[in-house]
Amino acid sequence: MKSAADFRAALREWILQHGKVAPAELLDDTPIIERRIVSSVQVMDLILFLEELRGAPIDVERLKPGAFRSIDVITANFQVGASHGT
Amino acid sequence: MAPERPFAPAEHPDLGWDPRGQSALSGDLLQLFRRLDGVFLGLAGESAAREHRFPPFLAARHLERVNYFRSFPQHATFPVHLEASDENLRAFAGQDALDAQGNLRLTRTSPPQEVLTPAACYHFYPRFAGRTLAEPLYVTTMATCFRREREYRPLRRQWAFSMREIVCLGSAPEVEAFLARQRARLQELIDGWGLPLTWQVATDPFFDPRNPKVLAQKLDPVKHELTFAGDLAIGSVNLHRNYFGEAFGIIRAGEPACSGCVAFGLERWLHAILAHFGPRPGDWPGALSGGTP
Repeated sequence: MKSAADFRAALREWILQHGKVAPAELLDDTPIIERRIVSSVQVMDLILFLEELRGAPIDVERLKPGAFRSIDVITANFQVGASHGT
Repeated sequence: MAPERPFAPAEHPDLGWDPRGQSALSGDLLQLFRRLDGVFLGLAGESAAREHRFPPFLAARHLERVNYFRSFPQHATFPVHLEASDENLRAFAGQDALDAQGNLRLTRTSPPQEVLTPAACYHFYPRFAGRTLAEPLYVTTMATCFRREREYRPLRRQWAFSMREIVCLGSAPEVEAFLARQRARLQELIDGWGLPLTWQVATDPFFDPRNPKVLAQKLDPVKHELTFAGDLAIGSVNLHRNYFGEAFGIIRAGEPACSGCVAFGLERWLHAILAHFGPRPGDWPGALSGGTP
C-alpha cells in the first residue's frame, strides 16, 4: 500500500505529464478539473491510473461532484483506506 | 393565479401542431411568445449584451472543432440538396417526387457541409474566432434550433424550436459573475410571476453515456436547469469554462477565454405559462399579459 505522500507524488507526476500546467502552478489545492488542467476526455484515464495506484477499483457510479477537485481532495478520497466521494 | 381546472397547453386554439415536431403560433400565443422573448431580451440588456441575428445553417467544420458529431449525433439535422447536374435534376423532376409514405425520392445529392443550428450560442464562437478580447463580451441571439428526438410533443419537445441565449465571453471570474447575476435576476423574475420552477443540476444529453464528458460534468457540474413540473427544463445556466475559447482561439487576459450562457427554450416557457396560469391572457403575469411588469 502506498503512503499518502507517495500517492500524492505519483498523482502530481501524472497530472504534470498528462495535464496542461507548469510544475510551479500545480499546487495541492489547484482545481484540476475546473481549470481544465485535466480535460474531460482524460478523466477516465485518470481513474484508471488511480485504480492502479491504489490497487483497488473505483466505483464510477458513486462518484460525487468535486471528488476530483485537486490533489488534496483526490488523495483524501482515493488513497486506499479513504472512502471515495465527497 | 393557477386555473381551477388544469389546462392542456397543446389544446390551445392558437397552436398549430405538426406531429413531425414543429409548431405554429398565432394570436394570443404569438403575443405571449414575443412578450416572453422581450423579457429575456430585457435580461440581456441588463448585461448590455449586443444583439445578433444568425442564419439557420452552421458550417459543419465549426461544430467538428467542438466534437459535436461525436457528442450529439442523435440531434443533428443536415440541409440536403440535389447534385446540380442537368441529368440529375431532370431525373428528379421527371418522376413522382414522393413515395406513398410521403418520403422524397431523392436522386443524387451533394455531400452536406452544413448543419441546421442545434443551439443558438454555437454561432458566436466561430464569429469571434481568433479574437483577443480587451474586455468581456456580452452578446445575445434568438435562433430556431433543430434537434432530432425519438418522439415529439407540442411545445414540450420539438424538432424545430426557438432558443434565446445570452452569452458572456471573458475571464473565469467575469463569466462566473455574469452567470450568478443572470441567475439571480431570473429567480427574481419567476418569483414575481409566481411560476413554480426549480433548479436542477444536469448534464448535457450526450449520445454515449460512456462519453468521458458525462463523467466530467458529474464531477464538475456546469449545467443548471430551470425545471417546470419536475421534468421539463425550460431554461439553463451553463458554464463552458474555456472549452470554446480554446477550440476557437478566443483570448482574454492572455489565456483562452471562458464562456457561459443562459438559455431559454421559448416554446417550453409557453407550455409552462399556459399549464400554470391557463389560456386567458388576463390570468398571465403582468409583463406577459400586456399589463405592467
